[in-house]
Amino acid sequence: MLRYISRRVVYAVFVVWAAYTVTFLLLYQLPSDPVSIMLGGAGGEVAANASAAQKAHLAHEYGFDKPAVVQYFVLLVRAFHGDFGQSVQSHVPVAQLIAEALPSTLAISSLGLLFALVIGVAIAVGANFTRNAFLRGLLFSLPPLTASFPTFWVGLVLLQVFSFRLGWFPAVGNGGFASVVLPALALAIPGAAAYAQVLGRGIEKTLREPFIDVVRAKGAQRARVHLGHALRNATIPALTLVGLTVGGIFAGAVVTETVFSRQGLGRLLQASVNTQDIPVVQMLVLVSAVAFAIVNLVVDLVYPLVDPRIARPAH
Amino acid sequence: MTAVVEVEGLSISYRTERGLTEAVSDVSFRLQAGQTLAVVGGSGSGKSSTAHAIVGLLPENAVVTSGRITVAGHEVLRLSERRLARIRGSVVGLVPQDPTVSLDPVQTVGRQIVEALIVHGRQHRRVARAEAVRILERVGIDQPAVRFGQYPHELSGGQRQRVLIGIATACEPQLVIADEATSGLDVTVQKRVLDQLETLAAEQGTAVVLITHDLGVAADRSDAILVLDHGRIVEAGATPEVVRNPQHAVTRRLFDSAPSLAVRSAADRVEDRPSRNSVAAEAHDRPPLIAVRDLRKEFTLSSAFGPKQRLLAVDGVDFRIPAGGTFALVGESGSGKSTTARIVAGFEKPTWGTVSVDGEIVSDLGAAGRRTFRSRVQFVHQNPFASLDPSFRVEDIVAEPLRSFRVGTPSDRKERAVELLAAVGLSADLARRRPAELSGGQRQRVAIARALAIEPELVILDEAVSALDVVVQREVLDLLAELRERLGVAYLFISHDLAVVRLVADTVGVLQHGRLVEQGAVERVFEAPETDYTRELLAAIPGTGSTLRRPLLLPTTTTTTTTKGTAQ
Repeated sequence: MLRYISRRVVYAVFVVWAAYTVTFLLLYQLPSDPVSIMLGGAGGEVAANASAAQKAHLAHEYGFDKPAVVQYFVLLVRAFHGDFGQSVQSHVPVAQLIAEALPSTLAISSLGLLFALVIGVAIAVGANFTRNAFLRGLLFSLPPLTASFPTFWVGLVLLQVFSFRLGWFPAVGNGGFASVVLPALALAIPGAAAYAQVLGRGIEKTLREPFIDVVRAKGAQRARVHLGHALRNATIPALTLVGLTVGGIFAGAVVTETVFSRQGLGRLLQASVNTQDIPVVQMLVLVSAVAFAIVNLVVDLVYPLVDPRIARPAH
Repeated sequence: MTAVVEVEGLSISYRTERGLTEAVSDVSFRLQAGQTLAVVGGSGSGKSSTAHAIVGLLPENAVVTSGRITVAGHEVLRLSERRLARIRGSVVGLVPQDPTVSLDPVQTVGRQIVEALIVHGRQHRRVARAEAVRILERVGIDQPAVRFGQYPHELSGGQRQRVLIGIATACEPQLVIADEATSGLDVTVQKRVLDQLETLAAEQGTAVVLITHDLGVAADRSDAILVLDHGRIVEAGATPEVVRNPQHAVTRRLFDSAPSLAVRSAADRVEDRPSRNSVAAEAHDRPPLIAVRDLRKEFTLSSAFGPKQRLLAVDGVDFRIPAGGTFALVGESGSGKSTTARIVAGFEKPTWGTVSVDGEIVSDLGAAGRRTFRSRVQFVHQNPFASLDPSFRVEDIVAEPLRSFRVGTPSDRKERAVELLAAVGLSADLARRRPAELSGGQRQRVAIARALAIEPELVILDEAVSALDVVVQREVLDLLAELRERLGVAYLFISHDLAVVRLVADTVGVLQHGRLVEQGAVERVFEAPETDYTRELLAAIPGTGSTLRRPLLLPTTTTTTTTKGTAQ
């Protein structure tokens, strides 16, 4: 078991490192000059006025005059010490920018994940459990339908209904728990649809397995058959999906935060990309990679708890 | 004495695309405590539907069109799902067909037995644990306390079937239904499992309905036999009478086909095939088609915990197959016979030793040589349900080897496919169908036709008839013999079923734990086995120690009461 865990942890660290390195390579291949951007602000048109000496000074100060390999290792070592550099736009330390934006995004994405799981599992179990043919058909057709709703549209509909019509939740802003619910829900819908689809079909398939007949032959009632046996056996593919959709939630945050006018990593990413604020973008990719790696590490560690065959292969 | 189970005029139909299809027609029987009834028939005879109806576990598309089933006073067909669940396990237990897929793979076997004890609210979870360990011990599982915490995949097929018997009998039900419960097991394991079931039934006074396609098993283990064909009872009576004097043609056909019973008449059949002996005699003069020398295969088991373990699956196996000959490898599951077959087929590389074809060592062949080797050696897999691509039409499946070796034009290949189908006894109108529309026997014929398409010199048959019911099995075996006569193809025949081996092979090798413990001409090995292991395997063949030779230990007066009265 220890070997399994340590191997998974090594993989997670590798994923983060690889993401960092690939981003470095990509961003430093861009045909833009960070020094010009710093001197010229957002547009870069003032850069022509700055003297060559000024440019050289800045390039030296930020280390842009060194070869890419040296820059890479310098940045990597600094990153290990928690120093992620400064925004070339605002000159605020990148770590500080991230720390300010992170909690808000973390709140909507973790609540979004929770909503997605609860809604997804509820639809999957309900669709299989109900004996009502109409309800069953409805619940099974819901996931493919909602999976095709774009996040921004879901967000706008939620705003329209729950904020403007019913007035239950605030439409914009970062104020307290109430402001988190609607963005989280908008973020949750695509995930919930995917989980419900995969888990629902998985349970349906498991219920046709011969071992289910044996469970029923023991005298188990319907709830025990569905929840005690079919659900757990159908969980693995859905769990894999949870790991994969975390990246989607981060991407969804960009849209959701715009629709709900919230501050957060999504908005920060959008602004940094617009202004080519490379250190910030690099850091955001890293944060995204860390989130992805952590969630998938957790998923990997949960696998053997759900299916003992993963950690205990037959002899 | 009142009957534990009484079935009256039971008819079951299935809803299909073509409307209702009747699977069981007007079946009646009754069974008393402590007695065993064997329900015998080929696939599609309705025996499993009957069994599942008694437990109330028919598939959703099944409809009971008429009849009554009473189990210990409960009218099964009238009960709600909730009430039915209360009877299952407590009054009637089910031992299912295939132990490898019948336990929840993600729960420990102990927990699954505990579940059987607590669902009826008779025992508290804490007490149930100790009881479950006692049950494991009772069904003959070693180290029951350790096994309690193991998962199904960590147990062998035989052990899993014992666990399933433990689950079925946990609440000491009055009736146990064993649905082909031992059909997938090796003969030795089958014998032990059936002994176990017999002992438990005797101890608890349980009535047992034994569903089987093997009349050998029925003859050995039952008080009365009910023979079903196309959903109807064609014969019913006390076991000794049915065995001694079968009345109906279907019963006689089942007896003729049962490989275990056929062993006794096998000697006569050998005389019908002179080439078998001549091939065996020539074997020493000609260079062998296939020579296997000192074959070893080591597997490294990578485990999440602890150090890697090595397993020697095949340990120094030597044998030769002459052109046109049949060599059979027999052994229990885990003896290394399938691994050997896969190495000879070139699907796996040996750790040590060589396989040569006409003197050429297979592992030394270059890419072109390997390609030629593929056209000379073909493989027929055990499970015809899994070995045919479901999206292909039958003609495309059969023609695929021709396509890969670029033989002929598309229209030639189509023609050839039809010829091949005819050769395996399938009509041309099946060519456009897909595997899902065929029966198991038809599918295995398609797999054989595919293997023969590029006219190989050796066909490896890995348990190729084990999944088929006896009648179909016999047809396929006869087909293989005929093809060998006609085409001169050689077979490497892998089987756990010695009775089948005796019918087809010239020479036989007995594998145990990866070693060939005995090898020789098939008559010699069967008539005068040299090792205890071979003797043990032979003794376990059902039907051999049976009714025809020794009278059943049963007073004839009681046997007449079971079925004759109500059966038609």
